[in-house]
Amino acid sequence: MADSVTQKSASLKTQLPVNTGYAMSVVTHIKYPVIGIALLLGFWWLGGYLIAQDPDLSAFSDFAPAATFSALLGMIASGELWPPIWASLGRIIAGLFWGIVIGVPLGVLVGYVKIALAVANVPFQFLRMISPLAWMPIAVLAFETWNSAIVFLIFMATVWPIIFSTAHGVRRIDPNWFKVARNLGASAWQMLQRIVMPAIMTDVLVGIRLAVGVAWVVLVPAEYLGVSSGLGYAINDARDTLSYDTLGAVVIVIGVIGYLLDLLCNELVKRFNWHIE
Amino acid sequence: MGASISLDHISHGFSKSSALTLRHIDEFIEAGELVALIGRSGCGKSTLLQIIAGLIKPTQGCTRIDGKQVIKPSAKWNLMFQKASLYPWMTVKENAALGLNFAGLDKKQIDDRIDPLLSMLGLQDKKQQNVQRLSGGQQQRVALARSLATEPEVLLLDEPFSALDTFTRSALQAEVPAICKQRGITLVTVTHDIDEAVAMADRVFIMSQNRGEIVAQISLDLAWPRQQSAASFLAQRAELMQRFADTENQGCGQVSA
Repeated sequence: MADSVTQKSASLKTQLPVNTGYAMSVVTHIKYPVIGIALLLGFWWLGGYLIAQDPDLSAFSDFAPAATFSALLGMIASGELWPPIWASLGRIIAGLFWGIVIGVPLGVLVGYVKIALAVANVPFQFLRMISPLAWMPIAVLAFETWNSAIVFLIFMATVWPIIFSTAHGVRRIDPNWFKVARNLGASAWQMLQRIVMPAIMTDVLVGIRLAVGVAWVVLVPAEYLGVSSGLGYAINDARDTLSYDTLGAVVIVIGVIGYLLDLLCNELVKRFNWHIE
Repeated sequence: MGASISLDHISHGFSKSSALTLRHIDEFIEAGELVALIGRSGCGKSTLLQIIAGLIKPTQGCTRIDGKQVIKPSAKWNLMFQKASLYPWMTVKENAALGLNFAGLDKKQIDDRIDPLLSMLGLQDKKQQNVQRLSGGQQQRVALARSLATEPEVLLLDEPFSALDTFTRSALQAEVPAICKQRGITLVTVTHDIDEAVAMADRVFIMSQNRGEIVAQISLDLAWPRQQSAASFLAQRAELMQRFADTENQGCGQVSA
């Protein structure tokens, strides 16, 4: 019995520093993000409080944290939140899909063929500087539905970072990797599949990460126009109906999803990054 | 088994306006022979090696391996570069097996060929490691395994050990000829290291500094394996040094005594 107690005590003694160390590590990692979020909430609460105190602005007082979180919980409970999220994510995925399908091969082409880069550089730089939203009138004329027009705008937002990042990756490929692969009997397809794609994967994913960020920012204003679904539409609708608590809730959802999408892309970049520090 | 190499009237210039890098090279290398190509940096020896490998098309002439004209690279005449040029997203085994993968061999066939090769080169316990974690010498061994895996008839080495430390270089200078002799592989090594040439070759070609020609050759009458401290090795080294100096003097318009 005494032995058992001694053993348990020894076991606790050995476990305690490990657990404490782990807890300390977690605290160290989340300490600063928690402080940042607390500061943001503090400023938001202060802004809401000041608005509520001003009789001219008190109609906007529901934009404060308490009302917003209450509305958010209500939207989650009622299921009202999910349809606009799926609609927006569907458009992002469709736009990004075309951005990748067209951007990666074009990036490989301008990265690999010097003359293609010389020809495409100026037009691509020119087109890249045009706000994707500026294409809206043309998109509306060119596509039958508003939904397709928005997907086109997302495509226009995503394709440039993907092209440039892919081309950058191709230009960084060690020329000897091609020579060795040719020497080992690689076909053109094997060269692309086994050498080029793994070599540039990190750069392609960095391009996709940048593209997702731009696409998510462009999506909300794009959804103000024409469509009756999505988070942008939900914001517009909440403003029209003076539901500022709902508007605040949708803003939070947009921020959280944007953050999570970026986190996901970053994890993919880490997963496919073959550089060992 | 190895294959013979015939260099038929090879001349090469990188552009129409530039001077020829290589001029009128006519040589024959026997199947299974070990040849070293020495010369100063920029004399065209690496270019000649890439022409033999089919990576560069010569302006004039051609290479024939076992009588067949080389028109493109092949895993049967395999070039190893100064830099190991391994694929950093792959493990040791994946790098070594790449040529076999390209050839469409299945997993068992690959295992049967790669595992003994990695054991022979002292890499068996590292086969699942990422190649970035290996030392320079180990990386060059992986590159050698990759070249040998396709069972080449001709192995072409472009200063492959010049970036390695003395001990590793010395070990590989002994191991590579031994493997080639054992398997009957024809070896052409490009080097600017006289010791390396004597340690690894049956015959040494000397390239001129400016003219892009093979201006002299010397057959080395030494037993295998080569002992770098043996008197006969040092004597052959001295003879080669003298021949090299003579050819350089001739290249500068001076006549050797």
